[in-house]
Amino acid sequence: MKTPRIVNAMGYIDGELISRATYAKVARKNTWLKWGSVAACLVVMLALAVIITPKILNGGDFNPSVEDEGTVNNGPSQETQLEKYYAYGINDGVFSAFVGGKVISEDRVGNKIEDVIVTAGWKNEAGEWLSNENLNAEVYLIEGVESEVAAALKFIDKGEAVTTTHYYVIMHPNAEYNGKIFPDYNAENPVRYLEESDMGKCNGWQDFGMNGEIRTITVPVGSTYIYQMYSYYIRNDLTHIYWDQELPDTLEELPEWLSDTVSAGRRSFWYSMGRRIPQDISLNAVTQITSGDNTMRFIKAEYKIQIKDGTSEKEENWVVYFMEEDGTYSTFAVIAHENFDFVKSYSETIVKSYQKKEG
Amino acid sequence: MDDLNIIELYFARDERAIKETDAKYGKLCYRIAYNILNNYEDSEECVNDTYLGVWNAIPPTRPNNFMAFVCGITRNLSLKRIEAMIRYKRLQANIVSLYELAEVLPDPSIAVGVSDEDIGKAISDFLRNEKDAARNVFIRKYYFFDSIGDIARQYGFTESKVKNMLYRTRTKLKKFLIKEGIEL
Repeated sequence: MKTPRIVNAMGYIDGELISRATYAKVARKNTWLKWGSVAACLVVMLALAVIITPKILNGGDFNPSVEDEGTVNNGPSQETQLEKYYAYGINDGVFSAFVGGKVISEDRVGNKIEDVIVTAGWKNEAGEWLSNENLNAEVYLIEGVESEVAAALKFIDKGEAVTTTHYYVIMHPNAEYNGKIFPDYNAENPVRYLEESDMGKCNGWQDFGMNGEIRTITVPVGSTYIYQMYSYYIRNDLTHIYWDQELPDTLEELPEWLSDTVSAGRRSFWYSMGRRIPQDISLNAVTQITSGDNTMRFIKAEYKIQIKDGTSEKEENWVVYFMEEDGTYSTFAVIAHENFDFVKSYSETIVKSYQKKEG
Repeated sequence: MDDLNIIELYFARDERAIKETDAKYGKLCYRIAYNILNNYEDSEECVNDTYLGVWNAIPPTRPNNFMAFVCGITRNLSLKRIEAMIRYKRLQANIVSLYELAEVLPDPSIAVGVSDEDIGKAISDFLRNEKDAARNVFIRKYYFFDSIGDIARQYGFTESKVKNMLYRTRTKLKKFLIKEGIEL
């Protein structure tokens, strides 16, 4: 389905109109203002009553003095409005550190683990409670997932923004994931990303290419730290970066093309992986590999890049896997902070796990 | 930093330009991307790609309105990405906003000889004659893809009022475009 023409055309509306909508002063015509005005009138009346009454009683005149006119209240200002969001968390026990919210289908839910009390309610932007209540809930196992990693939460009491009919996934925020929050709680099925296999504990299946996926693996803490667990370094469809440039015609040309520093734009690729633009890029080796199921061919390229960070310069080693599918280029890039050979072989195992996605 | 100074940094090929753009418009870009994609990682990537787009476009381009220029790139990239997600059925996002507007100008075969840019200019002409509130609500919804709830909160309207305003503006816009000969 194509984006409707009118939606694209809206992208060409006058910049000044966009700025005005962005910075528009909020004309707050709400109940606060309405009741604020009433309150203001009452304050005026009270002020007049306070000023006038004693004078009447004392036989004085009715004209308020100049300083008395400053007592009118203009109602609450716009700044007093607080942004808020709904949050909940289990009060005590092993699941109290878990976070989450994604609904999971009932057929993935196993036996009940325990009854819990959940604090649920509204928080402000700073994360402080504005209002909350205690709700009874139950924690269940999710089939095939260790309860230290994730579980399902079912509310027995109805909260303002939670139901008593759904199971919500709650997850340990950083168990064995190098302190990073993973998996993606917004993923279609976050539990798909938590499996045990003969390759070890998986950090998950990640989309790679337009129709495939690779199985990423947690590298044991204490060994080489690699970032590739995060799809951040997986670029499906390079035209998202190079939307204004012609990519090379063949996959074979792509590694060299991306090592060009003469054309500033080509360095975009590196920037997109780490918010840094390298000064120098050297392509040191190129080899071909195929997936374990022989359905996909990849080019593996080894790079050394120089980055100027403030006044200091640093060097980084990367291994990047390139693939082509229906004329679309995708890449999976891995940084090696140390032990480059280990990172190369480990990442190659990951790439070889490539398979077509079901359906 | 002032927009003009940021643009100068781009012209000087000074990479601080990207940091300054991020500091000033990063949140806004992220919001547009997230409104369209409804996914943290994709949105973050679109914002990063926006900076690259700006880096590649300036120079030679010297935008008159830097904020709109940056937002425009985020919006374009996010729409392209969601189109790809729809094509490859990887969609998780709620994309109702994109299609609500389609009734105004539904078919690519309509107004074939008129470019999207020209239609955009016509929409600008139309919006300039609308009341401030109706115009801003319309842009909030169909340029920034803010939710009805967010718009209602921001302007202190009820959600049904926002929906009504949008409906009325869409209907008027459709009539306007027919009058301008854009919808045949």
